[in-house]
Amino acid sequence: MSDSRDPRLEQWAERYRATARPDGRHRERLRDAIRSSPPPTREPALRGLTIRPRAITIGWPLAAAATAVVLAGGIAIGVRLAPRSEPAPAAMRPDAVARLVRFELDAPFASRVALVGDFNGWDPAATPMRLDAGRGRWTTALALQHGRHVYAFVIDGDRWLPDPDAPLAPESGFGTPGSVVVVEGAEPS
Amino acid sequence: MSDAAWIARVLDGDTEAFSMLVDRYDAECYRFARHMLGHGEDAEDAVQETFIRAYRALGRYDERNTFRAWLFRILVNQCRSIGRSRGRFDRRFVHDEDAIARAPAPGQDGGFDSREPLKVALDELEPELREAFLLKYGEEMDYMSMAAVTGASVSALKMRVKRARDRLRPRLEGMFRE
Repeated sequence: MSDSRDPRLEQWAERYRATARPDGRHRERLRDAIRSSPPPTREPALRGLTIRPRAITIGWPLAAAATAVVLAGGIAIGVRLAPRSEPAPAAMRPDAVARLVRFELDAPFASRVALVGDFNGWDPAATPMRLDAGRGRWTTALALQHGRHVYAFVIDGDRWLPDPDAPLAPESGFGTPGSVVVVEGAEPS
Repeated sequence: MSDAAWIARVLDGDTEAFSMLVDRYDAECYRFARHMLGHGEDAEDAVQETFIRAYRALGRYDERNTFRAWLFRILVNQCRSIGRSRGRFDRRFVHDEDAIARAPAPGQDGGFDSREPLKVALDELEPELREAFLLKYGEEMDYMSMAAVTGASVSALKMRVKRARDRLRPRLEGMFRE
């Protein structure tokens, strides 16, 4: 069997795509569930920044304050950091190309939420998230190096939760599930 | 009308327009979940939850991803969660050649015959191999899209697809020697 043009695979694929959807009340149930949900709204603070990534050379403190881009799942605005005299966070090499990634979690009943991952040593004290009380949404933005990162949220100091809107990663060494974010971009030359 | 146009209508307040996106992707979400989980009710639950989550998160959708890849990322996560929580990934079919030989011809049950040899073989694969195989050959995704959907690296996905094909090769050859 060589590749996807193998006729046996093609025939299997035809049968796969012919899998019939059984009739049932599933559409009614879905319609009811959607009608009972609040209607989705645009994220106006993010839209203008997500048109096309641009590499912008700015100093590190400005990068930390810059507005963020989309949800964790891999899309980010490119921000090239210029070396500064202040020490960069542990996740950053001075010569690395970084991307700002925004992390969000809807948890209106949590008292505190922290972001943990391979970029901050899985330390719940390293990256506390900020609450938008009106929407019950916790957010933070972090500059991450190009590549694949695993992360999770820690609720109220002791409950670990993967990102419900991101791909799951193989379990971390702590035995709890994490999520994956892929930060795209060229390696520094 | 494009996915982006329907999404814009939903976000502009025409929430019923979301049903157009459901119509467009419901069947392929179901077939993936059905083959992944091997259980009709679980597949229905996975697809249901996928569309509900997609609807609620629509405001965060980034048009630089295809909607299909974004939707399938949610679907893959749902299948993984349901598969783990309901023990679907712990099943191992006992391969019974006689039973398969006596079974009616495949193609019944709406094109999904749980006794079909290749279906049995797919169920015997580890979940990550099955997932990669279905995305690659069933859903015809490219590896970059698969990486975005699954969170695995392209190289890992290529290895999983190769291992799945190697394991399925004897069943495929038997299936089409009719």
